[in-house]
Amino acid sequence: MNTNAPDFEVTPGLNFENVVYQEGKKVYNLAYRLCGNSEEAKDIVQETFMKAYENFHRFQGKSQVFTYLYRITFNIWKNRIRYKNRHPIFSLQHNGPEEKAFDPPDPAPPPDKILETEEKSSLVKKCLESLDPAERLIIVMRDIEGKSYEEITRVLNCRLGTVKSRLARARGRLREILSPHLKILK
Amino acid sequence: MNKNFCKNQEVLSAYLDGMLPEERKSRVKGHVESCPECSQIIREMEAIRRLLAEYPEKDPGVGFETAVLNQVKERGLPVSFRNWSRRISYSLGGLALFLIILVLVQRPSIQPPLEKDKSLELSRMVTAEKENSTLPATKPEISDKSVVLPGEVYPDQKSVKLKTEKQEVKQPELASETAVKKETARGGIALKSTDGPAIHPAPQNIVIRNKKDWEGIWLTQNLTLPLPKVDFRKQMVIAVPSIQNGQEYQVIKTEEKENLTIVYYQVIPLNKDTAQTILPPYQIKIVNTQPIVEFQQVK
Repeated sequence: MNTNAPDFEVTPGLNFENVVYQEGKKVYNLAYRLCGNSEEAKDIVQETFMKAYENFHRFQGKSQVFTYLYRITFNIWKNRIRYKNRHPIFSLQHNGPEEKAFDPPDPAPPPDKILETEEKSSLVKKCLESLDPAERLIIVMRDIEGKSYEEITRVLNCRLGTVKSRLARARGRLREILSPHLKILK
Repeated sequence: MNKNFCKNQEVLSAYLDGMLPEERKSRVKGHVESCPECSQIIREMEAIRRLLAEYPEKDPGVGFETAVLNQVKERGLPVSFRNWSRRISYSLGGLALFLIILVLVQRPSIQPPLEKDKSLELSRMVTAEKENSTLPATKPEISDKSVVLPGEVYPDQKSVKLKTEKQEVKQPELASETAVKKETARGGIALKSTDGPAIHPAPQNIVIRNKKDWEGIWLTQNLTLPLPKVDFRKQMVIAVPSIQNGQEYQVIKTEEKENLTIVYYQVIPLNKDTAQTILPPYQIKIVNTQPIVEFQQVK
């Protein structure tokens, strides 16, 4: 890693290249957990760092870098959803390998069935898809990544009470979806 | 039972995360221990939280960060300089763009990209009757092999390059009603007729295998929709003209076989008396990539 890249020296002690190497994977995972598609996640990450680079002179180190990047990632993803909703793609038939309609979890699996790791991941992915954008981000940050409520409020730029109520709503929604599986999970 | 928070998901969720004030926390704790429904909710939330916490990280792949940095560098975005110098740069950029547009407007009219763009792969039906054929402004070259220029090359994609051989444009002939001339080549296009009466002149079908050509043909569609995403490592785009040679062509279906895709289409003669439908120039179909594509007319 080149720590002496003058191109990326934007703030004393804060090197953009280092930021990419340190935070790139985290940002990618956030994007992937939000959109559920690895190729789209890469596009989102690219866009995130482009935007971050453009505005890096405004980032004065008052908050943590990842908060700044997470906020950009979330906004980019939200805008993509809005755009897709307004402009559905026209095609006679599209056999895209990662484009699948929402497939609700299987009803009541056998009581003695133990969920394998991949099944669990698939279940989590489906559950996340059922949440609205803000709820999805909160669940990812809180329950998957273990971030604090404060960090979530900074990313979403909202009040603590809003985060609490959205988190509760998201958890309630997940309880409904996962109720057939909860015996196994416990 | 305390009605304020019994079965209240928001309170129980905050309690689970230790986000309640101390006084309230002890009251809720006391209640949860005695209320079967609330303790059930807490247990379920805990189970869900455990499930979510186990969700593994995904690896973006080797060299991901380097690729991101390279993209940022290529863009050469200005970073830490003052607002006024950015304004000047943007103004100069705007002025340059304005001059370019001005120059373009002054030039003679530009032909549609498709006719001049020889990088598109064209199929040619040689049995078409001369008077029914509508040749593009620039005569396409007919060869036994189709023209395919290398598109964007992905690490796992074998680039397809074929040589073009200039040949004379032959006049189409119909030896019999079922006469057919077959053109098949790797990456090329074959045509086979079905059993039946007259053979209609085949449309100028196109197979697209790279993003540049895809963008080009999408422009001709005159739609305000965004370019559909195609992964050219695994997919290709079939484009069949909607109307040509006084006929309307309609894609019925596509069939995949080993190393071969067959596109079935039918012909609908245009009738002056029927209402005209405004169609985009091409019917587009995105399919899995195959080296050979055949176009078959059906009844």
